[in-house]
Amino acid sequence: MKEVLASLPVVRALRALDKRRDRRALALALLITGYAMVSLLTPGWRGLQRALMEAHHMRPSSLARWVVLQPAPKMYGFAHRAWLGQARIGFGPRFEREHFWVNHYPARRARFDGARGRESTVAGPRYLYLRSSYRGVDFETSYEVRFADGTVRIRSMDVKP
Amino acid sequence: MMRRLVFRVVAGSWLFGWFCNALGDPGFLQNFLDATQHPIVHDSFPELLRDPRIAFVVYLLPLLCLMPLFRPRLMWMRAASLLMVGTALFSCLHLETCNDATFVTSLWVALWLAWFVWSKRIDPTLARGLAHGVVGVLFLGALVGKLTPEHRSGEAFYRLYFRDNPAWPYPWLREALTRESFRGLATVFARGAIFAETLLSLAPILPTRFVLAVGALTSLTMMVAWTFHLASVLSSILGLLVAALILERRFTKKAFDAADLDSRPSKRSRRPRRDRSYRAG
Repeated sequence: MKEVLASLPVVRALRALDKRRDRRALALALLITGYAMVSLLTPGWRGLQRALMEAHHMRPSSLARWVVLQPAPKMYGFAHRAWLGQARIGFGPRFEREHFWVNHYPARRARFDGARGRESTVAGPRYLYLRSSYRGVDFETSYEVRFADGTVRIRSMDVKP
Repeated sequence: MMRRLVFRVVAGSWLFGWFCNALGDPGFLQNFLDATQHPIVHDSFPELLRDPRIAFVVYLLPLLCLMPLFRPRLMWMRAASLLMVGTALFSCLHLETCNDATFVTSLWVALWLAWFVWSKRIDPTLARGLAHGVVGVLFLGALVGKLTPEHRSGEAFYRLYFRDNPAWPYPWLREALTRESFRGLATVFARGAIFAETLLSLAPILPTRFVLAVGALTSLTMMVAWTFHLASVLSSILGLLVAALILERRFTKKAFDAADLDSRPSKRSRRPRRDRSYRAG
């Protein structure tokens, strides 16, 4: 059993790290451990779940939190539903009936990637409703998107915890 | 020699992943060109993280890393690795690019590469262990995000990739199978993905060859089953695993240092050394 444990890549690396005292390697190992802890704590920590969902909705509560959480690997995770159209529908029956799913960062739909030129010719604002879910917790955001003066103005309408 | 080989493998796969979705419709270049005509105004982000021109320039900067890829001198490799870390981190933070998992995997692989090329003496055991750690943390994040009923039941996979997917073989499968079987297939795929991500998140305690085999098989399956665009996300990870295999095979016992970088011995070292032992005696 001891031999098996000693042959594990992580055990061998830790021994090498202890022997060589490589500060840069230690920093990288601590960074990996720190972000692994973020992932491991996610299922049981509501505050962290909310912070990650805020990142998926591109509306961080602070720039510092955005900078810390963006390198966290969170791709293709959580369940994200969205509705995009020209009506203010709220999260009512129409949202339940007509929503579509997005694999991650559903708020990117407000950017209209590659289609802003075409979309800017259509009059009126667009509304984007987002609901992300994780282990029974929902996080909702709605955006109003206006094309004006050659810009895309994205404004958050409300946030529900 | 080996440091250059590892640099070429990792940086080459990194650059392939970074630029493989540049062209096409939609591709990064088209998106950036469209975005520069219509920049975003968003209350939560400062100008620096909204300006599409800056994001575009940052996206193109890693082209400079092609030079050390073909002429891998130590300082160029070191500068390239820092450029890769900086551009990947900025792309993770910028509003125009923050959603793309390409930049997250690129950031973590670039951090490993920067450590690797900046180290004076490399311990291959340590380098391999850190590479496994990077692979593990990347897949752990993806796995934990799927530990929710919508993913476990296959509902998310069905809605995202199966139900309305116009690409082959999904229309054919919709015709050939009953609705229940088609839905059940999505559940099988979802649980298969969770199983593969569980294995890959355990990379720090698994042999390199096994992790590489599972990683390559999973990547290939995902790209064939859903979209080749995933190559941008997975390419750098696979490059890192190949580097880990190189380190395992060739340097399990011997550390190598910066002197290994010179392919040719210098003029000084080519000269026969004069025996100075007589001075001591």
